[in-house]
Amino acid sequence: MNKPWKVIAAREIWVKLHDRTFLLSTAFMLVLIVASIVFSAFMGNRAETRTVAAVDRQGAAVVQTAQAIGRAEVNRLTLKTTQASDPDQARALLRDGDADAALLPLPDSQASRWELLAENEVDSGLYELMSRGVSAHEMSSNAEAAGTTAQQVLAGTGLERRSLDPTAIGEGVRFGLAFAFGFLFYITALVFGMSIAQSVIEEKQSRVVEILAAAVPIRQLLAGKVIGNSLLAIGQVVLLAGVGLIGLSVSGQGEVLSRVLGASAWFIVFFLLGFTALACIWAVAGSVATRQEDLSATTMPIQAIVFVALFVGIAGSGSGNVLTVGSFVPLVSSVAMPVRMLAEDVPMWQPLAAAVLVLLPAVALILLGARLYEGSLLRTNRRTQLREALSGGE
Amino acid sequence: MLEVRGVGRRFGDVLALDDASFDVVPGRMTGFVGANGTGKTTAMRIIMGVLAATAGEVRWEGRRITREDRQRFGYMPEERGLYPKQKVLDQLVFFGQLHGLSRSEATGRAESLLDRLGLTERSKDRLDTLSLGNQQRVQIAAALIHQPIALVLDEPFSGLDPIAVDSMAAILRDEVARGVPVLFSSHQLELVERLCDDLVILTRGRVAAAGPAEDLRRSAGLMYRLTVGHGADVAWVGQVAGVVVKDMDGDTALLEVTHPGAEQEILATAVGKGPVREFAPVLPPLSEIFREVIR
Repeated sequence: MNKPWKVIAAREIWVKLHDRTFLLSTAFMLVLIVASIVFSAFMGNRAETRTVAAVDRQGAAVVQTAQAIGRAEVNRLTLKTTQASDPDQARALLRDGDADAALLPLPDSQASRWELLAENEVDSGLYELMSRGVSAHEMSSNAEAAGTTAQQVLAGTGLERRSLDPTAIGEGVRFGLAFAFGFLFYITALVFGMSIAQSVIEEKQSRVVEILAAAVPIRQLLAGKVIGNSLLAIGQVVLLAGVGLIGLSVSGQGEVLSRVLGASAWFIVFFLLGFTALACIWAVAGSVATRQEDLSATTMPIQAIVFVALFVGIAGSGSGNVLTVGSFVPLVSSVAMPVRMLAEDVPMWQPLAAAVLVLLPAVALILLGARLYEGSLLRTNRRTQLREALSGGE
Repeated sequence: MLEVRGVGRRFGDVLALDDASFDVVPGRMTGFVGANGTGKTTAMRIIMGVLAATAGEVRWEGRRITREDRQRFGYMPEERGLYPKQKVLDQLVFFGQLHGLSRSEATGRAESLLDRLGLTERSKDRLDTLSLGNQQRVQIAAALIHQPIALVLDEPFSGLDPIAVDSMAAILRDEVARGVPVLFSSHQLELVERLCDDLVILTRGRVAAAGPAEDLRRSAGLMYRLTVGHGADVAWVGQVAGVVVKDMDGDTALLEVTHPGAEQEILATAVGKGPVREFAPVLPPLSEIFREVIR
């Protein structure tokens, strides 16, 4: 024989999976994730061409040197030279959009000082490449004047790049991931929490709850709802996170994957704990309301908790202390701990301890929620009955 | 047998149900009548365990009723409710499973019930696309899906057109024939009179009368109607001892027999005086008993 909560949970899942709005919003989020990964990969690997106008042969040589440096480093900037007869023509080229920058010798100085002129702002990548071009060019002409070559001057020198922690994630990526974790928690917790509250109110409003209450214990009803929706929520988080991770590795951003993977696994664990803890309270928010319209008011406190978790996770990712403290605060830890794990090596005992810390209030909230749910369901009965009883006394 | 024993329910200062006791006997249809707000719904909710009693107990088969017993009951609450957006068949299967049927059992039962209710073509439609009468049929199907061992129905006939009333009545008779105790509340007294074997009359939270409908009507006072031949007079009946004339109109008299046996004397005298066209016991209609009892 089926346990009633299983039947209830199965119905919750079935209904949700046949809800067009839910399917569309899930599809939309998937598209959003894939699109943002594709976009960032595209932006990261895109080769861009900049045209630099030079007014004399020496300027053209500098641009060519810079161009060679760029090519040797597989720099995403490719340079092109265009010749202008004088600075005025170079400015005209800039204004017409035929050149992105102009390399002009500074009039008051010797041949070794230049200015890079652009219509608005000088692109920092271009500036860097050009300034290295200027140095290299000057170096080789000075070396030549000294009877040697640039290669000889620089022989045996060099600067290699190596990271102490090869899996470390750059600032930008880390912020992006913190944002992703935060919003995934926020949106999923909100969507599925609301869906619990709505399904409770729907049963109250359509009065089906009386048949349900006669057929199964109220706690089974609550358990079915919470478990059904939690499974759906976890399913969606795993789906979205999974697609995101696959996207990262496919798009060649795989170096950061191992750390992201660990943080993601913990994110899912914390999400499960945090969501289940809140799920019963969502159900209570539904059961104390009497109409769909009341929900925004009765769910406000939980919405606030979920928002704080998001806020600490994102805003705290800059400052270490807030994040470290947040990563141990139940519910807030759902976002803060995984975000911390992206940023630094967190000893294994810490997420475990934080998980235990969520577990305690989770159990308490579930028990409290079950009590309140039973109580508020009965209270509706009582209210109805009181009205009946009073009208009978007239 | 379903027994309600001394059940009371207090809401604050209001005593909605006071020491109510009655039986719902298997294989008999029990009508639950009373004015609005006299505690019928409260009593039914207490029987179903949706509401706790503040006094007394409900018994099933000679012992205190359990949740498992109630899970096998069929219930139709006063405030109707099913899932408006779910398809009819899916909905019934869900309720069948909730009551412990397997999915395939529930599907089979749901299909045969829908067939019996003439709703087979609507089985894939959403509930809220059905007319109110048809929604009510689905509601009764939800109460019957698990072949309940007892039925508790709060106003099952309200809002039904005459044809739907007949089909609902036929369904309830079938359940009674299966040996199931059926308790239903209604305001339609002539319907209760037509259908019910037993009656429970509630007034201001108290059971004013309970028992077989026949007995209640008989106990309200046994009456006889005497009609004699044309032109003859019945005025003489007023002189017979143990008889009260309730109504007299030329050749017809309505008599209440206060002393059993007096009716035999009346008949003998009437036959002696001339032709008797009718002499028959008259049971008062339920509405009269009802008015009498709740006064």
